[in-house]
Amino acid sequence: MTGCRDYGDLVGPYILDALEPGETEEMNRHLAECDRCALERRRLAGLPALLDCAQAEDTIATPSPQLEDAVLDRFVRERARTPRPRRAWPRVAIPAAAAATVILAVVLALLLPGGGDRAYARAELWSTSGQVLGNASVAEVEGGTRVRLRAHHLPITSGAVYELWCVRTDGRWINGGSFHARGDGTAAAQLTAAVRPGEYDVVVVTRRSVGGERGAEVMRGKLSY
Amino acid sequence: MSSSDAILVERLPRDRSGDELRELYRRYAGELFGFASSALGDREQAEEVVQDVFAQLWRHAGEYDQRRASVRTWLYAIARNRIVDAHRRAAARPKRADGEESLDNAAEIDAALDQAVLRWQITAALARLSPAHREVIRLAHYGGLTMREIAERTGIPLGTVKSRTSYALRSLRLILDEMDIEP
Repeated sequence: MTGCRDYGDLVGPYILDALEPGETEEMNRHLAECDRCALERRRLAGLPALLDCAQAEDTIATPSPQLEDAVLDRFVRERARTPRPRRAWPRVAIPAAAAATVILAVVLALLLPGGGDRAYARAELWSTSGQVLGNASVAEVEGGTRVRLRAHHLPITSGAVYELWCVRTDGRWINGGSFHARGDGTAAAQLTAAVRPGEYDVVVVTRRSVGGERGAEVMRGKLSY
Repeated sequence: MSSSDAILVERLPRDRSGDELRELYRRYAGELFGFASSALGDREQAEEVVQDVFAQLWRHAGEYDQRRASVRTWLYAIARNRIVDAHRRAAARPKRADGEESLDNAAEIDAALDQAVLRWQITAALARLSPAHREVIRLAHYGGLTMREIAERTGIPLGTVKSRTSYALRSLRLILDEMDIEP
């Protein structure tokens, strides 16, 4: 519902007390006899008081991109300390699983230096045009993966935000967090993803997602474990 | 199609990848940060509040009941509690060197928080207007200019300034209606 055809455009300025004195008097007379404009005035009348609650220079504050990483990092660390829901195992499975675990631990201890409690992998990151743009090294941390990323010649600099993704072997993309490019097109970041080494073999860097849509791919690399 | 907030919260207790949490973060972190920042006047404290809100969210997701409140309402309630805590901590400290006094009783804190929420909501509503609509409101309401003065200052025809101002206020009213903000 809006005001009438002749005076409708004056209701807003009237509400904001921004008409010339003569126009205001004319509107006062008109509002007494025009139901449409009177209704429009009632609908808008509370706005000046609401506008007074804010300041002209107020701007919408936005959190730093690092906050998202901090929240997700805290989540991954807490989740790692929380045991998964327990399943009811058949009685025979428990000793069998225990035996398998012992055998696996022995095999890993024999095969892997340092006892095998940490897995490492590296990848060179290539642009879609075949240029090496960076590298990633991966270490297992409690509950997930720590990816150390170094990039150079990023296409968009000056604080542009990029995202790291770990692509699981089942094709699912797991977000590892976002990072900023420096002004010279380089970036260094240490990000955490809630997937374990071995569950994925490809890392991808994209532009930041917008509206739930993943950003354009910038570089990717296949991990060598 | 994206999942509803309630479905994302329902999945959180089983979320090992962080996908559900990230989606909720992207939906709400901006406005929660804006709210906290407006209430506390400090970016660092506001970021701490947002972190705490999401930590509470994933720790208590299993207790969420969508019949009692929307996810948004729930998140704001958590944020509000955290902001009250921050004000209380500030009240317990010696007065600030810049002379600003901390709020030191519950009624004052509540009133200040209501004011901060409203301030943030109005700012957010204004931000959703087109730049042209925002500008006429800024000049007329905050600048105290008449329609004629705005026309002279901007070079826009007087009739256009008047109709633009009316459209701007109607749009603002609609946005505030969407946000459930009554006069």
